[in-house]
Amino acid sequence: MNKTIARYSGLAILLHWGSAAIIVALFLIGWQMVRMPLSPGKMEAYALHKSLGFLILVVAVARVVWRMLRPPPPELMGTPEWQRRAANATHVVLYLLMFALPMSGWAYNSSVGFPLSFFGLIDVPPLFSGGPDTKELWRTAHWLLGWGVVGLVSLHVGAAFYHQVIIRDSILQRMLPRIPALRRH
Amino acid sequence: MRASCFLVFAVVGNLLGAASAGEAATRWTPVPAASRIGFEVSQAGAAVKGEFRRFDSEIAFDPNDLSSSKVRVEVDVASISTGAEDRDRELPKSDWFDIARFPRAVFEAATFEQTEKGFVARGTLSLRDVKQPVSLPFTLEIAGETARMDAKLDLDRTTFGVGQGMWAASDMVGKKVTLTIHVEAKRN
Repeated sequence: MNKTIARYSGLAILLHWGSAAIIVALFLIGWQMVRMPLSPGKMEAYALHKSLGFLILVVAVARVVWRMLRPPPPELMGTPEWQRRAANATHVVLYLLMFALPMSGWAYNSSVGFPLSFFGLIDVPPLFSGGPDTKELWRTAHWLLGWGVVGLVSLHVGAAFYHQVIIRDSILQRMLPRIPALRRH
Repeated sequence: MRASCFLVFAVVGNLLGAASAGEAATRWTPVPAASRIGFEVSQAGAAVKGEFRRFDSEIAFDPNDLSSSKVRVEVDVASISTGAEDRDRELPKSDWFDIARFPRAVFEAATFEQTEKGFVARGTLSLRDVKQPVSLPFTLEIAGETARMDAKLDLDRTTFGVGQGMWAASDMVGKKVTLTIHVEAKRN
């Protein structure tokens, strides 16, 4: 494989895989917690889900800022136009969802009137107070946006595999750190 | 003969009753709309505020006659409200206040002491099936016919069994509950 792959910057790579891990954790915890009977454990799961949700919001801001400071490497040649467009659209919507999904969760939590703490360190105020009428609306929004992320992440991962396994180009390498042991000499 | 005997007893009884009422400290009628029993507790690391919306108080209090002062506050536990439906649905259940069995919480005090900042009421609090001595420090402001009493008190909810079984642990719902009491009352 050629050595002159234009990679994303180290920080961009770290933030990308960091968000990937957080998003997977958020999904798994979210999936489980709603099925648990009420218990301190369930509350703990919710607390963790909410803290991680805020973390992804912070990471999303960092990613957008960093992306402006250090734009991604140039796109690979030879990808059909519709695929490039689909990829860009997926990335844009994934970014939007990294904001919209935690925000909808924050709004849902505000409408329920539950407290919100960022890992027990910071009390996060509600977005608004006394909105039990909007509870179902925000719950539905959070659910739909959540499955939207699942759909788009599947598309994103599927496309990465397609490039890696079928097209056999270096798209995935752009987002992987340079690991000396894996380097071909 | 017998009837007149009863009559004498009744009259004497009434006189005695009147006499002891005369000795009792000033009675005060609480103003519910201006009175509040609020509380704060932590849930999952963040603060939750709530209140008991309904409570009755019988207040006989005279700063110059503490020995005949006494207070009894009866709280309708079902009136608890914490601003979140989902939570308010759980609190009446047996794990928490068990209002089916213990609908009322009662604070009674007949011992008062003056302190630097105000007073302290030494009495008992009955909550669920637990009766515990409780000292309630409070400040009092009497302006004309109105008295305003303010108190703040930290309680350990587990002392009273509020939060049974798995809820007795304090990592998700804090043990410390801070009560903030404000009572306004009119002189009778």
